[in-house]
Formats: sequence, structure tokens, C-alpha cells
Amino acid sequence: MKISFTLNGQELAADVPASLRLVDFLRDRLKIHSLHPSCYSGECGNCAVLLNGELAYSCMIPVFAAQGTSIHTYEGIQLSEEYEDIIKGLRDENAFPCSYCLPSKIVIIQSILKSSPDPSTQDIFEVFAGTHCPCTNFHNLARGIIRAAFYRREHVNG
Amino acid sequence: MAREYKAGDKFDLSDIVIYIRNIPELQRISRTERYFEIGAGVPLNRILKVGQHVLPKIFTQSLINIAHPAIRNRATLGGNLCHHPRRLNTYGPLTILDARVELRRLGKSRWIQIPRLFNKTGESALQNGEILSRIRIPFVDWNMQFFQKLGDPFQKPKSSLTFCALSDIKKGELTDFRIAISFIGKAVLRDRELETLITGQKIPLNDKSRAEARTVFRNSLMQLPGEVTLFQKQRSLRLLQWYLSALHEPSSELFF
Repeated sequence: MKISFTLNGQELAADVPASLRLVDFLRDRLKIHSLHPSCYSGECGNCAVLLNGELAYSCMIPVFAAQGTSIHTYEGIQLSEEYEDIIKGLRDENAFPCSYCLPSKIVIIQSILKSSPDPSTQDIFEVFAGTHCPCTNFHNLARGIIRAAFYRREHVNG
Repeated sequence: MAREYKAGDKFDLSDIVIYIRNIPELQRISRTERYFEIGAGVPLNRILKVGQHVLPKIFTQSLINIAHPAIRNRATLGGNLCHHPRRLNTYGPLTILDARVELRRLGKSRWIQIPRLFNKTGESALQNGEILSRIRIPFVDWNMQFFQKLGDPFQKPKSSLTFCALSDIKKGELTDFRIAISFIGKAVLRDRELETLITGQKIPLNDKSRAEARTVFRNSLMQLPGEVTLFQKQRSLRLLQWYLSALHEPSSELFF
């Protein structure tokens, strides 16, 4: 089946089999190597993407569901100005994740900051309940995200 | 070419797939004075965003208990209701809230009560060519609402259960009382005999009433199919006992 969608701002079209998972399509066909699927059941969070601006795990989505959507991955976020706020916030609080889960955590943090400019620790913990990598202390991570949100607000307000 | 994975790693889809998520009608949420109507394709997080302060708390709590936000951004209410082997979250609350669902086919539609969506053997009421299109939740004031999901249904299916109850207490009298318990598999228990017995009684319930309620409820539990374990039945009975002892007239709407 033929699908068309936007990936990191670039319009794309492809012919895909219906049973393919979005994560496999992105990794194998489009070479998005920031996705590191390991559980294939929506538990580890290492395949997180933003689908129409909302957080989604690409291992749980059939590729045809991407029809007409806008997908953002770590590669896209990395090129935006917003990326710097996140990195700065995490560094300040000594909450830098390992290189394996960093891309997915950045995507998740971006989704948190998009949905709430001033997220609470509880909001952050709730979203990170869907991740497994124990590399980072979650309290430090929450503080890092709150700090990143502060930088983002400063950035927006000039 | 896609990578090959071990069994269970690929989506098990038939050759023809009809993708209904983008149908605008299934994505609508509307509200009248009497009810809240939700399209079957509305993601759970959107229901929470739109209706958190309007919908009955017992229902919103059942949604919050489903997985984590990334899943709730994609999972839909229609999907949760139609996945009958795991009726652990919204099914029970919607049953006791007297919610109805619309089953629609080309040129025809019919509304049925949630408990009629599946029969006792687990067969769906959906006929060939029908889809679940809307869920209608009536607004009724309940001054005590309780929702509790126990255990992890994925890791421990033989011990997990969902217990939900609604009570309306006015001038020290229980004017309405509803209870539903659901387990992994086909079993959902709504004990109308118990509801009839308890409704109309003075609060707090005396020892005799509680003992009668316990006996009635135990009999209903014993009639459940064999897939419900003794441990689950004991858990349900204890939860009921606790709930009945906790009944009191709240000064304002109470959810716990």
C-alpha cells in the first residue's frame, strides 16, 4: 500500500506492506538509527517518536497509520533550537542519559515540554513510567526537565 | 525489506485492512445536558483532556489506569471496549454508569447497553459489517465513587481484578448502589441481587445487613466461571466488605 507523510519536515511517499511496524520502516528503510526498539510491546520507550506532535511508540503503530501524519524523531529535534534547552537543562542537573536511550528520552522530553510549559514532577514521572532504561536517576531527570522548561520559557519570552 | 522477527513480533494482520481511525465521525466528542458522547476512535488522552472535569470520576480514573501517556495517545475507547479478553478498565465503570454504545452499519444503527456488547460465552454483539461508532455516558450525580484496579493483569492474570462501585446517599439513606467487578477473560460480575438488597438501607449499614450482603455476594462469586481463581474471589469479597464498612454520607462528592 502507498502512504505519504512528513518526516522531520520533509514530505515522503512510500509503498509498504500493511503488517510492517512503523519502527521497522523508519529504521530499515529510512535509516532513522536513533530508534532502538528492544521490547516491541510499548514498554521500553526506546522507539519514541512524535506523531502529529504527540508522543507515540513506533513499535506499536502499523506503518499505514502514518498516512497523512507528521512524524518527528530525534534527528529532527536535534536540528531545532529547542534541543539546546533540553541538553542544557539535563547537564545542569547531572541527568544525562546513556547514549542508547538518549534519543528516545529527548523525544519524550520534547513531548512533555510541548504539552506543558511548566511540567510538574508528577507529570514527568507519569510519562517516564513508559520507559525502562535505568541509566539515569529519575529525580535528577525530573529536575533536569524542569530546568529545561525554565530555559525554554526564557527562550520564548526573550 | 523488513527484518524478520520471532513469533509475535510482527503485526498479525489479514491481507485486507480497513483503517478507520481517520473517519471524522469516530473522532467526535459532544456533550448535551443529559449525556456525554464519545466517538469510538477518540484517543484516551483526548477524552481525559476534554472531559476530566465533566465525566464521572470513576470513568476518568479507569482511563488514567490504562498504561502510560504514550499508549493513551494512541489507544481508543472503542478499542478498549471491543478487546473482550481484557475488560479490566473501562468496561466495569461504563456498565454501572448505564452507558450505551452505538453499533452502526451502512444505512442502519442500533444502540445497546454495554453489558450486551458480549454474551456470557464472550461472543460479540457486532454483526457482519457493523462497527462500534459511539459511546454515550449519561450524567447522573453520584456522591460516592470508587475504582480500584488490583494487580498487574499482564504479569499476574490469576490475581488481578478491577473493582468499581457507585453509591448515592441522601439524608443518611442509600438511594442507589451499583457494583461491578471484572477479571481477565470473559468474567464481569454485576450483582443486581446485592444492589437491590443494599439500596434503600440506612447508612452506616448494620452488622446484619453487611452479613446478608456478604452471603449474597459470595453466592454470586461462586457462580463465576472456573477461570476466576479462589484468590480473586476472596479479594473481591474483602473489597466489598471494606467498601460497605466505608459507606457514609459525604459532605461533598467523594471519590476514592
